[in-house]
Amino acid sequence: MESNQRAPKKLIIRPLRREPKLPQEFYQESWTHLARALDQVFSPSSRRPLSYEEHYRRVEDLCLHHLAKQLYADLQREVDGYLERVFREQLSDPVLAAMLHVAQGSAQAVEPTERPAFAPVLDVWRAFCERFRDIQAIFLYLDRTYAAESPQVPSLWEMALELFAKHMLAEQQRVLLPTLGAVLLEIELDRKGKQRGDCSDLRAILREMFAPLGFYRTHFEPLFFQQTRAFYVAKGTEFVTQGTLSDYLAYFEHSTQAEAERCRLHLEPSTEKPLFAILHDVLGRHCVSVMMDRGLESLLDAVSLTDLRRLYVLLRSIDELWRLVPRYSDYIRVRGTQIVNDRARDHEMIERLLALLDRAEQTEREAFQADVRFHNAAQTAFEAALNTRQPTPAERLARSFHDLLRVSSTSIPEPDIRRKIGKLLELFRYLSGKDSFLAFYKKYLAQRLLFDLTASTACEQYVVELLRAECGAVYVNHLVNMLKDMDLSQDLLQEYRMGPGSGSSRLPSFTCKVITQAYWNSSESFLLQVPPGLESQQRSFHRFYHARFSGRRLIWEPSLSSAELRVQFANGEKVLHVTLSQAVVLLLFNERDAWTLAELQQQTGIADSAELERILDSLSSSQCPVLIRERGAEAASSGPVTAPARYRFNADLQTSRRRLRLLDIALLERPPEQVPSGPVASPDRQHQIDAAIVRLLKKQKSLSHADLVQQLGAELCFGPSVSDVKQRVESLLQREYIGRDERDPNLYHYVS
Amino acid sequence: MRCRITRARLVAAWTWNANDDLCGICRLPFDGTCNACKTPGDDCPLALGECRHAFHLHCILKWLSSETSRNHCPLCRQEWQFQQR
Repeated sequence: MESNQRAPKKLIIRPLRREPKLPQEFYQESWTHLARALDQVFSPSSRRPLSYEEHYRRVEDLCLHHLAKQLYADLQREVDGYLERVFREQLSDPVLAAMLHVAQGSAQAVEPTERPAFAPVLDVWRAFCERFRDIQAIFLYLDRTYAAESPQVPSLWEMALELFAKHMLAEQQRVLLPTLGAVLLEIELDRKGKQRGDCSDLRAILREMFAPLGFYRTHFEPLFFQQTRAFYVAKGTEFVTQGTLSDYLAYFEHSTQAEAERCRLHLEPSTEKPLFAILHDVLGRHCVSVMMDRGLESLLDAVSLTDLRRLYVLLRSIDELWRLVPRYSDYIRVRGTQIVNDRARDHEMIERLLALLDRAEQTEREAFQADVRFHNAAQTAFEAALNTRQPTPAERLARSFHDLLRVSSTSIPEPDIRRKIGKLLELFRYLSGKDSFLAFYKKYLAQRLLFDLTASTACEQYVVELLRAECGAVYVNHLVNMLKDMDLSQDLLQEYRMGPGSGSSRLPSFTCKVITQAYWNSSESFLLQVPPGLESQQRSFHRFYHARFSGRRLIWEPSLSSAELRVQFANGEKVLHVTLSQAVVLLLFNERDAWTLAELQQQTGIADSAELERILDSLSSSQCPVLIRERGAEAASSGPVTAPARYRFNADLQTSRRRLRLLDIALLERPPEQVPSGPVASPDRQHQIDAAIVRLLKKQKSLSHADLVQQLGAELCFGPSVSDVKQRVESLLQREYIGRDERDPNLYHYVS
Repeated sequence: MRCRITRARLVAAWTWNANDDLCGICRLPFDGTCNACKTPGDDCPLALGECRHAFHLHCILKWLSSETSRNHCPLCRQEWQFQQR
């Protein structure tokens, strides 16, 4: 009740009548305390535990009373004074002079001391940083309010950096210059390999001192780049004047790694790019081409993969791989040409070429990172090298196939043979005269098939299949039919043996192979007086064949026929594998011990005396002299009229082997047959070129000369020479198979 | 008897037995093929007429099947008869 009547009591707060004033001496008093605290922070000797809380409050109070500006200025003055004292005392002139002396003295003379020469400066910086952390703690409120709120006022830390930098730069960089010198010296020592175990000082001065102070970008980097350039220029000159390629490559790799490591450990990330630009430019670009002249070939010869990988990486990093590609292909071409033209070592040609290919393949795969540019260049170079001396490589290659497929290689397991065939086929792909290869291959295949030298029919078929895959069915047509002839002959012989005519005389054991002349290389056929026992069989087979196939003519091929002889020598009976003609000659020595050439010619019926001499040479070769050639005794005295040489049976033949193969000697001594090759196209090739030109023109109606030459390359299994094509075109124009355009002499038309 | 032949591997090559080297129709050698064939030999045999003229079998068959031939040998104009074996 009472409460309702009584008016509510109001609490009124009135402003003070007199505004409270800060005591006059408030700031002075506070600053005195703070200055004392600062002294304590700065001089570690008189250090007593400091009450951060108390001083912090004081700073806060001063700021709240709008005295921040004055406080900031006083603090700045105090820090400045401290720094001046410290720089004067700790970085006195003698200290700096010692630093400068070390930095200017030649780096070689300096033995690494315990700590780097710039250590005093770093110590000053570290001590300052540590103390300033305390100051920041005390003046935190000032930092966060006044400094943070007013844009033109730097924060306390920035202020400290500015002051420190000022003292470093004072008096014409009295402190900074020796310090930089000492830092660069330290880096140079590191580059020279005189590394101290602990490099934390270097990292500290660069990352923790120079970077925040701003010296890194403005003062350190330019000098550092200058020094780097000078250092690597000197190094590069050293290598160029005297140094091996291998050392150079190793050094380049080493310095790349070292600089990358330096960037990672000591330097700012932004330095990396320009630093490497200098390194690549000075040590790489300026030296590499001179250095490559010094021993690139020997590196490639030795397949020194490490060095080559380094070279590849180097050139890739300076983006100059194009320098290496032609050098590499030149190398392949020169080496390949050397091998192909090394006549003394023809018999090893194919193995050496394969070794070269292997080396190239390994180099490309492991050193050049399977770079397709290198592979292509090497292929072109190799092809050019292989075809510098036709047709010998084709012959050697066919010969290698022969050696691989013949009986003597039965000891090699079949997978190995197939692998080797694959290798040879690789070479075959590079061969431009594929038709010459075919001619040689046919010759050797004929030997294998007819003299029963084939190791395995499966392998023969395999090679034919591979060749078919490479060059098409037309290319292997003859080979396929040659193999087929062998099957047919086998059947035919069976049939003959079943028949009546064959029963007459079983000895000697007799086989006959009938080949289709069109498929086989024509061999010069000559008449041969076969021994009577054989002759009757021959005649009987002839009769059988004519009865079986009318309209066909059978021609005996003595040069492709072979025989086995049992011969009595002084030290026992030997089995001789010989050609039929060799056999005929040897059988004559049953009658007499010695014959002259003329007598033998008469007896054997071989009209061509060169052929007969070849046979006799193969029988009296030094490897296995079954016959001995005796010069006429009076040859020396009677001048030009020489007595005919006589051949005598060598009964005292010394050999431990029971079986002798004279067949191979005879075959190898045959003069090389006419094979498409060489600068002048053989008639066979001329026809092929003619046909191809007409085929192309018939298809496309008209073609320019350049297009024609280009397309001919794809059309033919050999690379026709430009002059050949020209000549064939002229001939076709003359015969009016094709016509020349009236206006453009380089354009040909098909004439229907 | 010093030498005795124990084994002989003889080789003989066969060709077509014709009076001419070239086919009278296509003018290509009998050793090769007629112009329709690719592989010589058994696949492209020879035909011999009673008149002793030889042609590729394919060539003469083609000729005989044409209207103008009137079943004559193209060389001697006698009536064409395949030679009996």
